Amino acid sequence: MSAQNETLQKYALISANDQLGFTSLSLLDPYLSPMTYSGIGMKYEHAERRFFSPENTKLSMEGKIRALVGMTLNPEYTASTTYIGANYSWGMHYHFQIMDHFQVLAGGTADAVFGFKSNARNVNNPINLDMATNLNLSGVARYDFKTRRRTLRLSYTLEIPVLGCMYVPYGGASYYEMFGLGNLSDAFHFSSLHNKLGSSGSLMLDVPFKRSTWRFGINSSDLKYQANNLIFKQNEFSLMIGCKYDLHIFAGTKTPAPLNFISTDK
Amino acid sequence: MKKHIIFSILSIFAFSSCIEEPEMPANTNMGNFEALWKIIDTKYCYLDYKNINWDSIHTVYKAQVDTSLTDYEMFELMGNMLGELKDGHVNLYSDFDRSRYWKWFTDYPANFSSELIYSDRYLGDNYHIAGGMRYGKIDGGTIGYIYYGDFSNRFSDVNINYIFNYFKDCDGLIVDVRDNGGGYLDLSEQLASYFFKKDTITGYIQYKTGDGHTDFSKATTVKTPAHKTLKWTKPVAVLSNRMSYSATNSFISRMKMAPNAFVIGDKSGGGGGLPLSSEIPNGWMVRFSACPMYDANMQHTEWGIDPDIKVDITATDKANGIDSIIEKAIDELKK
Repeated sequence: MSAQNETLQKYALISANDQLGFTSLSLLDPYLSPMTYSGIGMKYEHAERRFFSPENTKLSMEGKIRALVGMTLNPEYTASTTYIGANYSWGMHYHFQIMDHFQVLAGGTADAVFGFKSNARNVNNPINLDMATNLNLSGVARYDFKTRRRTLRLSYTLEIPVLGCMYVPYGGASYYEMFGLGNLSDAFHFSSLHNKLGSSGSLMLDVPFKRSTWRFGINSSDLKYQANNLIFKQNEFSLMIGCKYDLHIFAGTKTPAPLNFISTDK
Repeated sequence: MKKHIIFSILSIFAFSSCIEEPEMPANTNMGNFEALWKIIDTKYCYLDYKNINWDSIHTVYKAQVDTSLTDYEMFELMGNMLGELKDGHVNLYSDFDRSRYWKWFTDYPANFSSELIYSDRYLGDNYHIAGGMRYGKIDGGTIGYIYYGDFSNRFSDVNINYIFNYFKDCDGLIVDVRDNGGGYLDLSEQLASYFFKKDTITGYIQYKTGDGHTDFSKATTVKTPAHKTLKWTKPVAVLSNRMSYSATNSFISRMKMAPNAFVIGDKSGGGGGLPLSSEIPNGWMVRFSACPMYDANMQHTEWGIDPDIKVDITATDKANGIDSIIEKAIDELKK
């Protein structure tokens, strides 16, 4: 009897995906140099989405971690800037079923960015921190289409920062004064569409195979912001490959695994 | 619906055009010249203080820029233009040369000889090395002597603890920072902290907030904290010469405020502007003074700091193997 009840129990699965990308990167950081640096990098992204509850299949939450490591050079190849950065975002989306095979998710996310850019040649300004928090408008469009052997999913994701806070020092301020003497005044700025413009879009194709579902696609991210008379730019274009899967976490006493799930930890 | 989507997309592009990127000059002789001139015009911190007419310098040097000039000729021309700033912290770096202004020490007596300090009268051969410091007892073991020649060579509290213990029976200490061209500012603070009894304001620093020659931030106080556990409480002499520059200049500025300390020797070399880097379209890097540093009386330290006791090494003393500055410091410490 108990086993039968458990088979009827609904679980909100976590739809996760992991992706790795090869990135073409372009950076303008006038704190480090007035020149635009360009180069390549590697991008990693892990995302998890699930409905708030199994009963409500209209509202979902999503957590995403992105990391980028890149190496760029100035136009004359005489200096390099290394970029290492990560971004964590969490958001909610409302699911609109427009047609049988077409779905739109609309909502918002909040994210936190932390990274640093290092120009090995500079003397007292060799590093600039990349710190920001943003509230973003976010949307996903999904279209499922059948081929002879499988159903593929094409999805487009778009995220646009709207409000936030960002760290931008004065071009003439030294890190000795900011972090050695603790004078961080004028380094943190409110950001919105008047001084920060950007968009991050991904076009992905999910292809299910016998034992796994693979994702292929492109990601393009453009960001431009200004403060303290400095204009910054970061453009990325990535070719992404990854896989997606569903999972559910059974943990603690509140959500134990059903009896027909066999754990090695028993 | 379609109209709304199109409007939204257009809005994004319309907003994007609000943030206009500054135009960089082309990678030509004239473009590079203009880029360099502008970096100094907008970012160099001493144009007004040094009474430099940078516009007039632009006119003079621009007339010499020609498309036919080779890289070497352009480098020399731009290096000469930077030389007008009379600043040891200003350099132009290319793959084949580095421009420099060295008259802040070449026009003055050396007042230092490594042959003298490593002679048997002073450190000799059997001195000790801890971190970046070379030390030993001089004057019959009554005076501790530390030679610290580079503020880029790190030292630790443990190093200093051993050194102070080694000198515990000495009557005084000499910290010789002659021919020390600078390095890390945090090390100048750390070294000075061992000689203070309480946290003390020892200077100020500013940075540029705009392109104008007088656009500066409010001055930030520079404090020298007293080290929590390690303190040298006996008299200390700081030896300086014209090659005591940049972070060393900052150390001397701090030590002028330390109790039981005096600065002896020649005026320090200066270098009161904390340098930052930038670059021009052809990839050459320029280093320039960006943040002016002041002493505790809000006076510029760019041209150097006067010693409390002015002493030069005389030719006779040098010929006799005597460092006049060390000898005078010993006398003062024993008073």
